[in-house]
Amino acid sequence: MEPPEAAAPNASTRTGPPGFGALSLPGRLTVAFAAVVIVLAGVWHMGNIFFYVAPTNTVSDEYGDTIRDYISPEFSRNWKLFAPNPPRSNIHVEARAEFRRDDGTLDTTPWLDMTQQDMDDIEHNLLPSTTSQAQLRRVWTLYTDTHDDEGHAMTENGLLLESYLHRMALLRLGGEGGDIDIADIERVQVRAVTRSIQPPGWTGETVSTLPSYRELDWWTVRPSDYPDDVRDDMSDQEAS
Amino acid sequence: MSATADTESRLIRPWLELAASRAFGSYQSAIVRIGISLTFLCYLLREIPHRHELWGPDGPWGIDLAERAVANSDGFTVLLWSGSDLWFELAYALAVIASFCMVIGWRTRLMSVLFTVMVVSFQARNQYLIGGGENILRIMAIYLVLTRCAQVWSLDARRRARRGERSVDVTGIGLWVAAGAALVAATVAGHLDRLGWGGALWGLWAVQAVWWLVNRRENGEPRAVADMMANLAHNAVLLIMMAEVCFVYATAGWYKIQGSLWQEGVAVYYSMRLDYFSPWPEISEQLSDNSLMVLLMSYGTVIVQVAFPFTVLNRKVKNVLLGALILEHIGIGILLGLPFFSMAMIAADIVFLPTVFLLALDGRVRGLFRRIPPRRKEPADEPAGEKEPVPEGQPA
Repeated sequence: MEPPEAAAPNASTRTGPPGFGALSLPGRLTVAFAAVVIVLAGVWHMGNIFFYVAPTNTVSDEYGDTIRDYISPEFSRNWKLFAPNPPRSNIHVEARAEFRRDDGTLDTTPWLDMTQQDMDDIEHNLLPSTTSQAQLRRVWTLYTDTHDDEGHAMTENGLLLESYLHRMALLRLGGEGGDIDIADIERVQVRAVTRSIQPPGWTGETVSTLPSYRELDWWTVRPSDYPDDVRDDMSDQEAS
Repeated sequence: MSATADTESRLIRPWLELAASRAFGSYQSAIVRIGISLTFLCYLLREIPHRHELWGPDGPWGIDLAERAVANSDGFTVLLWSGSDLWFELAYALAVIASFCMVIGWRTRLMSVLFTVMVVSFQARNQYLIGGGENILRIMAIYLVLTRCAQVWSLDARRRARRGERSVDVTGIGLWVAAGAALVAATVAGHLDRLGWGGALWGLWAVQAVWWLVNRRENGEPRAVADMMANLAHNAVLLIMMAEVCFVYATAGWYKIQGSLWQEGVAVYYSMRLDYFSPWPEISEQLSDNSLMVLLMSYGTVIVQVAFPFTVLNRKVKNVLLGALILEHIGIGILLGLPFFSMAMIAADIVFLPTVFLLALDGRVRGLFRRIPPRRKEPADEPAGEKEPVPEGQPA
């Protein structure tokens, strides 16, 4: 590649500061030094990004921690929506509550299909909210990523996600317009109902679309799981 | 100077002089600024009714959980500096204001920093809401801090054209003092003790002071040197923004190529049958029942994504693929119900829009708003529209 015409472009026509050539030696050295720093920083930055997204290789084996430290969290990324494969099934996350009746007896609600609630919000909506489009979907995916098959959290974030998931369920079960008061809920349980998507008709394949269930253990609601106002009301009642 | 040094300087120096001479891609950086900040602004306005549930101190992702998660991820968020509702509402308002100021390009140097701090803060406050759209938004926001993205299409540019850059600027000094006071308060409270963010914010604040000092003397050498260094940073970061978009498509495309459903050309069928991604089930079913359509869309997606990074060297092919990517994202935004993801992706894509197109757009928009005076003059020797945005591309 031929270098561009030397600085001529602007020096002659531009009113204002002099061009590079007109600078004193210290001035030129400062600019040149800045250029070197910027180029090195840029190469370092792009190199880190490359090895962060590239498949595991000799460099990322050796310097994986350095790369992750540099990239996370500000430059972290994940471009794997529907890749390598889109999901072949629909997962509906459902929840039910064990609550105390006015007469003091315990009762259990039917399963509430929280995913169906989300779908009702999304349908025919040009601007669906994150609360219905992404929140439950992402939290459930991340929950399964951070837990083994017996439901034990494998990381601390897994434990935090358990709380998040059950608080979401608690809010929806005891939400406004519901049959039960959130303060009466003592335990909640979450399950996932997975149904395979029927393969396209032209492939001639069919799969069973019978649902499979993954049921989590009952979650005893802790005081910190209730919203502030509910918690305050509850402690007021206890005090009085 | 010795003979070798002389040869070296002849090879490198013209490039250095070119890169230091001006900030290239002024329209491209401006439209990315507008696109990215408009996306976040729309997102914040959309979620006003749900803001407490998503990020609030009283939401299901409460302060108690978020504090532990942020400690684990090493994230930065002003939203955890206080657990009060008032602080949260204040931060939300500040995020809306910063986004709006970025869109209109008012005090862009300060606002770009505030905008980035708010984007990062909201994302770190609830990291489990982060998806592809949020990632590109945050990454581009950080890059915008280091670009001269308000040279055109901004109130800053209009003010400069009217008053000249070096008249006494009371508002600017006031904002700088206010920013300094905020930094002092945050530092004293111990919120900026981590070198990365503390150093960056204090550093940017100090740079503003230096910039103001060197700009007090017209045509002085310090001013020229500072201007060149700003141009170098802008041009480098603009290149990085472009490379970043290429990385997005390269990785998205190459990950897909490895999937059997994309290989068989049926991936789009499954995507459209997902409950969370079918806001228009009637249309999705119609489209996904058409085998040829599904094959075309599946293969088309992979081909365009994998090919895009290789086409940036040829502007005609690049422009065709850019159009295809933007159309695809509009389709995804509507059909899969991901409007803000699509907006963010398009806002990043448009860094590759050709200058001719942007100038035509400029003319159109100016026709609509006659009151705004003409844009800042580009150097006269640069016939508008003949230059590619790439700072170190082939010579014109």
